[in-house]
Amino acid sequence: MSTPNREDLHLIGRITELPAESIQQALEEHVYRDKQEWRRFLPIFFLSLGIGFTVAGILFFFAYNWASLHKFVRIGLIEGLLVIATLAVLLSKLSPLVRKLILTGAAVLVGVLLAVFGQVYQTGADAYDLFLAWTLAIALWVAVAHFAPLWLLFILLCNITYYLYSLQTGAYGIELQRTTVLFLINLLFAVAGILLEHGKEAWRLSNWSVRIVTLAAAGWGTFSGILACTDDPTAGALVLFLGTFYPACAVGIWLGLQRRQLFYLCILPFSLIIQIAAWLLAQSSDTAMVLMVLIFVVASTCLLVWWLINLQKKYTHEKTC
Amino acid sequence: MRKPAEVLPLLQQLQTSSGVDLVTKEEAVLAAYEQAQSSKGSIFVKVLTIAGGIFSMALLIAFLALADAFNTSGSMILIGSILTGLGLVAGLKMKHLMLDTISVTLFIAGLIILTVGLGWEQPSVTGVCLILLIIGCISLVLAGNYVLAFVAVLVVLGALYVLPMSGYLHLLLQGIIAWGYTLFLLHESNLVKLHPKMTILYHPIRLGLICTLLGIYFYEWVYLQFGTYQYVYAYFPYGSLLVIAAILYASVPVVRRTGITSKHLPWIIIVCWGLLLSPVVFAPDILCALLILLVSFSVRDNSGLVLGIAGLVFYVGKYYYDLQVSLLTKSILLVIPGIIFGALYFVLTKYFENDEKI
Repeated sequence: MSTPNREDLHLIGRITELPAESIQQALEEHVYRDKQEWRRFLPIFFLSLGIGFTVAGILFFFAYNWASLHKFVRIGLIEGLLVIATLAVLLSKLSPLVRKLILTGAAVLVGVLLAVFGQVYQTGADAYDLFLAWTLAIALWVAVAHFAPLWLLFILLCNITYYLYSLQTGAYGIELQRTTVLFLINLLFAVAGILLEHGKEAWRLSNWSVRIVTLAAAGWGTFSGILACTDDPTAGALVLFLGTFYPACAVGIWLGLQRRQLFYLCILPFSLIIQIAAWLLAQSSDTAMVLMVLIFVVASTCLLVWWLINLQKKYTHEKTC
Repeated sequence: MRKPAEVLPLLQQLQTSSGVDLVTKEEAVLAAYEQAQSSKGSIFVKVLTIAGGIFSMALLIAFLALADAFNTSGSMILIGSILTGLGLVAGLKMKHLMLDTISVTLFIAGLIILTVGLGWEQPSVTGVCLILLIIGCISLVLAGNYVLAFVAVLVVLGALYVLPMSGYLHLLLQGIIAWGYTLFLLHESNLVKLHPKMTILYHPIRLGLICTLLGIYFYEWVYLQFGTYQYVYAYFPYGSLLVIAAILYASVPVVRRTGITSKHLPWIIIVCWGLLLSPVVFAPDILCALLILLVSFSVRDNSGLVLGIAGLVFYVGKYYYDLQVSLLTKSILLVIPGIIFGALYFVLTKYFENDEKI
């Protein structure tokens, strides 16, 4: 028998004569956290606070003494922490989740080590060099650990590396080209995440991480679309964007319909609505055009929501039958 | 959402435990579930509605500005009032998620235009705040959907907070809002029976209280950075003491639920908990984040829990960042609580292990 949840108790409490005491009793029995959950949460809470405060205190201690530390001590400290962390991951009997969290911490420490190296030796390298080295250094860990937060860190570093590279070397002077490549980088990872869902269970990434990367890709794609309308881009940049974003969008919507995933059916059409609005405003930004765009946005959003709700009802109905 | 076949067993289960006849109301309950289902959408659809509403609101304001509708304060007040009213009516009459975009757009745009118009016409902050407070209260009573109710709560609490008052009253207000949040969540069953509309307003009011509690300190931090209002350290911490009292009040059912059966131990825990919180008596932001974390976890409010954790991390970081002491002193001030929390972890783990064995 299914237990009542909060929505059930609110609805039944509203419609029937169920008294407040019975609702409270049902909430305490079926909704509120029970003894076991509290007994699991409290130790973890205090342990997290204890580790967080102690580690922060140690970091502040080293920050206080940083200037007077010898360069070998500075680099040695961070390398020592890295070695301890990786040994803990490889040799300890901790749970896989804790070991992956430690590896994520170690991946962050790699960046700290490179920054300290650059600070100590004043290498004068470009910022993208640091991020590129960081990205390459942790690539193997990311592939082996197969941990969603670590993948997200890696993807973030890829984005930052490319962005700084394009800014600092002037390789891609056109903003649209830069943002389109960023869209493609994130699209590549999103597609990989989606394809891995069909692979072995051990290789599958969590839904939320794939969605974050897809959202990033859609975000860069939308921004590129706005730039395509407003920035007077070159023909090459425009062809690159048009030839990649819209086919990817079409495939994404098809995928959303095939897999019955409303996430893709929400963000991709909304991205198109934003781009069409930007294109219209780029043609003219007088009062009449702004009114037209307003009506277009309201009407298209309403229609999109109406379509999605109907789809959701259809999927729910098919599931219950 | 419940399948129709699950509703009768649910009603029978609650009827058995409460002794009240519920099964005869099965049809009314089924109809209510169907209506709730029709107005419910997935989280993505809700976010889409809000995003569309915000985009439309910006375009509406741009259109009105281009149409020279904002030339005088009177026109802004008139247009703002009409739009706010239309938004409320749309939210009441059009009970469908698809049309929430329209009601949200009109309501928020109307409020913004009205506030700017009032500020232009009536330079007195008190006057503007009082008018917004009245509008917020009326909107909260009339609000027909989640987003409108949430915005109305923010308007009411925000207007109350921005109302010019002495430092003492400001601190007391923080404590009162914290108590309001605690009582609101811990006495959920009484609220449900208070009025049928409370089941619709419960979630937006809950979220509005959390956002206000965390947001007022963020606002003060930004204001203090750029302003000179140093009341937090100038006055006796009435607000913090009220928040500590709220935390202790919320801790009593928690101690009961962890199954600690000893007669005196719960009170020892409560007193120790109060003493542990005393070093942060001048940091009401940390206390409020802790309160939100504790209460949200207790009543299984996951969104509140996430906000509470984020608030706690942010405000603890801000506390140490703002401390006007050397890095060495900060280091010591961090390690000592770290050791205390570590000790608490071991004590609790040991107690629970021994208790399980018994």
